[in-house]
Amino acid sequence: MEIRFRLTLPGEPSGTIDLGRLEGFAKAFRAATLKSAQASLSIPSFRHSLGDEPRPDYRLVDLTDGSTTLVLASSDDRPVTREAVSRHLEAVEEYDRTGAWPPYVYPGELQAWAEVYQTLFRRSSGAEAVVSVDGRDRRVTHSSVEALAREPIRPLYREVVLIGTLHLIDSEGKRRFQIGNKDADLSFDLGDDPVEVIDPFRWKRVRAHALWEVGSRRGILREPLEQTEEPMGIEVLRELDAPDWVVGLLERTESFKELPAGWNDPGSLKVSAARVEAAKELIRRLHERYADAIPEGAIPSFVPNSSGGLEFDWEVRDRFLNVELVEGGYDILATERDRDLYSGPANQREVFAWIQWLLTGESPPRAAGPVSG
Amino acid sequence: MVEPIGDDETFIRHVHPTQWPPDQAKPNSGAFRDSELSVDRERLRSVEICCMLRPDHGFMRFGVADVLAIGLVVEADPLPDPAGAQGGLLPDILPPSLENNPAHAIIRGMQKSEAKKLKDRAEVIFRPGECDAQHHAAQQGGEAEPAGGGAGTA
Repeated sequence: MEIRFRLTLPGEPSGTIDLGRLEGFAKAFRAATLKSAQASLSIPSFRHSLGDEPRPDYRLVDLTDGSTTLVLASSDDRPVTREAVSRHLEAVEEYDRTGAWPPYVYPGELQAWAEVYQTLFRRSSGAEAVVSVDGRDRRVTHSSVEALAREPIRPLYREVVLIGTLHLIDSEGKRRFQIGNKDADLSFDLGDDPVEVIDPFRWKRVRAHALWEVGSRRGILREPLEQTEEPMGIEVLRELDAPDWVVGLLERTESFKELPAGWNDPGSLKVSAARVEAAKELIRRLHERYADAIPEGAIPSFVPNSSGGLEFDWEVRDRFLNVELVEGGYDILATERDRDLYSGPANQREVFAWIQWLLTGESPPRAAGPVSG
Repeated sequence: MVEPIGDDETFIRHVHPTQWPPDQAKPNSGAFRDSELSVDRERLRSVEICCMLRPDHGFMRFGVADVLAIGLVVEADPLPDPAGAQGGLLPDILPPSLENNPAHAIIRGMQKSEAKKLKDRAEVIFRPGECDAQHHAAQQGGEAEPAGGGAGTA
């Protein structure tokens, strides 16, 4: 896959780009593509990784003359690699058309992409980029970037306990400190506190009881840090303001981690911890985006299947949706009045579009159903 | 000699409790999806026997005609294999178990769409945990009827 950023940077010499700007772009691009890939696979953004999937990787392959154009190429052609770049472009397009961000996108994801464009545009209000993925152009303007950076108006939080090493204290720039382990990392504002408050914990293993800002790597301490010998890890303790049905679904889904191989029949596979976590993240996201639209008694509930996957059936009136978490994405079946509308692979954006259809009856996102046995 | 499956027979599908969300009338369609879906022929194994073997499971009943109408293939698959080394041990006189199951059959070709259709056509005999309740009721002289009416003969 090839990605072109064709830049208009007023006041800049054409055909060149300064190294500081390029360095900032590379760092922000890597962070944003990881966030979008995580969102696409329903993996919480405090993780370093993509669960069982390798992280998407991109290379700078050309810097053209004329208008300044950065040409990147992905090192593989997996759906998640494509989604990691396409999601925010689709979101910007929808925002420009409707004035609202689509439900699938995470606030922290939008902010991460804002940083990508801010590194390129800096403060130039006339700057813009035409971003081309596989030959399809989309325009990202200075005002699009302002809208990306504004989100979220009201952040969403979840209560977590992070056991990790306090590995960074920045007392000069943004005044923050970071706690991480091999799986996760959170950044905390130091605020007006003197560095001496946390300095004793430098390079120590600590327990951080915190609120995690969903979609970002930011945390807010709820209790003072404590040194600990507990095993490293991160656990989402509870949803804030979550109704009982969400809590019940999360607990039930968590219990599937305990199923051994052969739990259903001799050939049934164990459900991986990463898949359980992705299912829980999807439940949380559904609640965040659709709580008011979900009819009473029509709650989707994940169950394990013999292939080691997790799936739910969801019926609203005569519309039916089965969503299965599979390696690298989702596999769905959508039917209406017993007529198959679609059966096959889907990405997270498409899953949300089908959920929108299920809940509202609006026209289905893809009418042509390919494969069904 | 394996008895061929008749169009008028019914099958019982054992459903693992995790595949039946507690607040839902029927299990998830995933409980009906497998490249070779195992079922019991109700004519040869009653739901009471199924219950005895897996008291925590739920049980669903559907007709062979339903399976054929969806376009799937059914095949008798008694356990142990009559042609195998253990096949000569007359499974009918051995105590019933999951491994000794002359009623075992498989349904081939099941994909998501077919599994959903089969779930819709299937009737609930017992939800998970109801078998246990029936067993206790029977032990205490009470009565508990399967949700789908009387069970078939063994």
